[in-house]
Parts: sequence; C-alpha cells; structure tokens
Amino acid sequence: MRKRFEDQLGDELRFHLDALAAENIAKGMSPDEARAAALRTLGNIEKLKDDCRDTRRFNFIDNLLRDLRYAGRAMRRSPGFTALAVLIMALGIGANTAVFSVVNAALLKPLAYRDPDRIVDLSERQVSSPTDLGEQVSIANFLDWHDQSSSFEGMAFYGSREIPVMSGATAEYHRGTHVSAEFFRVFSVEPIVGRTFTDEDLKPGSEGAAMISFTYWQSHFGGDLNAPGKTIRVYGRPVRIAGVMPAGFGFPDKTDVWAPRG
Amino acid sequence: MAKPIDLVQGTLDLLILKTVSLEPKHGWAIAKRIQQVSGDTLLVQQGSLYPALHRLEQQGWLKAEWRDTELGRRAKFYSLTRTGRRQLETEVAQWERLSRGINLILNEV
Repeated sequence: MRKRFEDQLGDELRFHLDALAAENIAKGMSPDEARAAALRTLGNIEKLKDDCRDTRRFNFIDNLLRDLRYAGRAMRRSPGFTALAVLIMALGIGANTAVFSVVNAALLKPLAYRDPDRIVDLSERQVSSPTDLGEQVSIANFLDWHDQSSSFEGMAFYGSREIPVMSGATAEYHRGTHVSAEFFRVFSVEPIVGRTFTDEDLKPGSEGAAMISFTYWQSHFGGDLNAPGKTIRVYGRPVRIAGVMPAGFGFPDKTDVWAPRG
Repeated sequence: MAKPIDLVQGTLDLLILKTVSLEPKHGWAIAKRIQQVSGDTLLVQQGSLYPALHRLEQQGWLKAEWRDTELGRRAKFYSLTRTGRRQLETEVAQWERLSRGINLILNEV
C-alpha cells in the first residue's frame, strides 16, 4: 500500500512537470530550459511529496516511530538528564497518586452505609468554652436525649478501645466497641450470618454476646457458617458470637468485635 | 495586465471542488482551469495544489481514478463524491456570506 502510494505520487507529479515543460517549450524555450523552469515553478518536490504524505495515516505512524527513535537516541546520549527527568516525573506521578488516593477515599467514595448524609454525630460542649468539641456524653444525658428528642429515627452511643480477645488458644488485641441497642439500626446494616443483639443480650448481667467483623470471621473462623453460637473470650470472659457483619463495615476504627452495652 | 493575485487563504479547497464538479480532471487541468476561468487573475501555487488534492481525497470529498488523457498518457483524475458536492454547497454559501459582508463595508458611504 505504501509502495503503491509512492509510485502513484511520483507519477502524478511527473505528469504535472511534463505538462509544464511542454507548455514552456510551446512558449519557445529549449527542452532543457523548459524542464528547469518547470522544476522551479513546482518548487521543492520532496517537500511537496512530504506534504502529500502528511495527509495519509501511515505517514503519521512513520513520523511517530522516527520521533521515538530520536528520543531514545537523545536519552542515551545524556543519561544524567534522562535520569533527572524520569525522577521528576516519577515524583510527580507518585505525589498525584497519593493525593488522589486520599481524595478518593475521603471525598469521592460514598460511605458504605445507607443514606450516609442522614447520619450525624452528637456531642456535648461546655458553654464556658464553646470551641472545645467532642466532649464525651454521660449515659444519663444520652438516655434523656434518646427518650425526649423526636428529631432522630434512632440514636446510639459507642465506646471503643483495644481489647484482648481469645479465640481457641490464641489471644490477641483487637479493636472492640461497646454499642447501645440501636447502633446497627442507625447504620442500617444487617449481619450476613446470624443475628444482631436481642433484648436479652442487652439486659445488664446477661451472659453477653458479640458481633464480629467480616475480616475477623475470615481470619479466625475461615468463614464458617456455624461461627454464630461459638464462644470467644474477652478479658477472659466467655462471650457467645451472635452474628457476622458484612465486609467493609468496621465502624468505628476498624472494629473487629462489637459488644452490647444497655 | 495586472500581476495575478495569490489565492485568499482557505479558498483553494472551494475552487478545486467547484472546478471538478463539472467533470473529472487531473491536477494540471485543475490548475489551468482555475487560471483561465478567472481570466488569469488567480494564480494557483502549483506546489500547494497537490497536498490540497490529497487532503480532499482523504476527507472523502474527492475520489481519484487513473485514466488515459486525450494524448494517451495515464494521469490521476479527480472527481467529486456525493459528500464533496454537499461540502461544495456549504463552502459556496460561506463564501457568499463573507463577500457580501465585505462588500457592505466597502460600499458604505
């Protein structure tokens, strides 16, 4: 295809040159003069051919390959400059990726809960120093808010820390969270295996029950569907597993074990 | 006689399309025809003619065919395609708007 194009381009321009020369001869020039004049009229033939080639796609590919070869040669000739350029680009791309990861996780990706824009954080503040945020709430105040406010569909509290958890013979520290009755209803999450806490579990002095995270279920029970009903030990005290939360849910701070607090 | 005028930028396409709209022509004939019909006022830079022809062919407005001339030599004849004919109409309309606008300014009293 390339060869045919070149042949035809040559023929086409030769035809034009011959016609020009013939016209010049008719005007009274010698054949040699006529030919030279014709070439002058047409200008730089190679430039002309190249302009014609530029209209075809294969010329684009040729040029690209040639540019790549030039680039490769230039880079080999000055390795210092090349290394610097590569380094700068690597840093730039790396920084971009890092910033994007943060933005993606914090701003772009929606939270894994239903209607996340309707979940709010409630806290107490001292009137004397209104800029201090995130004061802890006393249980008595929480109960008053919970019982007397009508602005919320559900209200729950939680307290979280690292706790020693034994499963079988191994004891490890895991993130454990005490939660109140409506905690899972606030986030609208259902266990994928088992159930959430019953009223029995929430009564003070009950034997206790725990929800475990999907990751804990996978790493300590191998995804066993019979995991609910089995026992883990928290602070040495046996606690029955009630259910397993879906993958991705680990509020707050990648919690692995949730226990009820009435 | 006055010196022939170089073509206004962008008008070469229009002149080529118009010139081949009547019958297929090779490059040399197109150049001659433009010069003759314009009463030798327009001079086609022969160097810019061929890239323009190839571009128009690539755009699908012209199609090319190798044929014998009256003198029995093979030459590349260009003719208008259907989309080329539509392109000619739009370019003519554009040119008319442009020249009307310029005339309005020039004839302002």
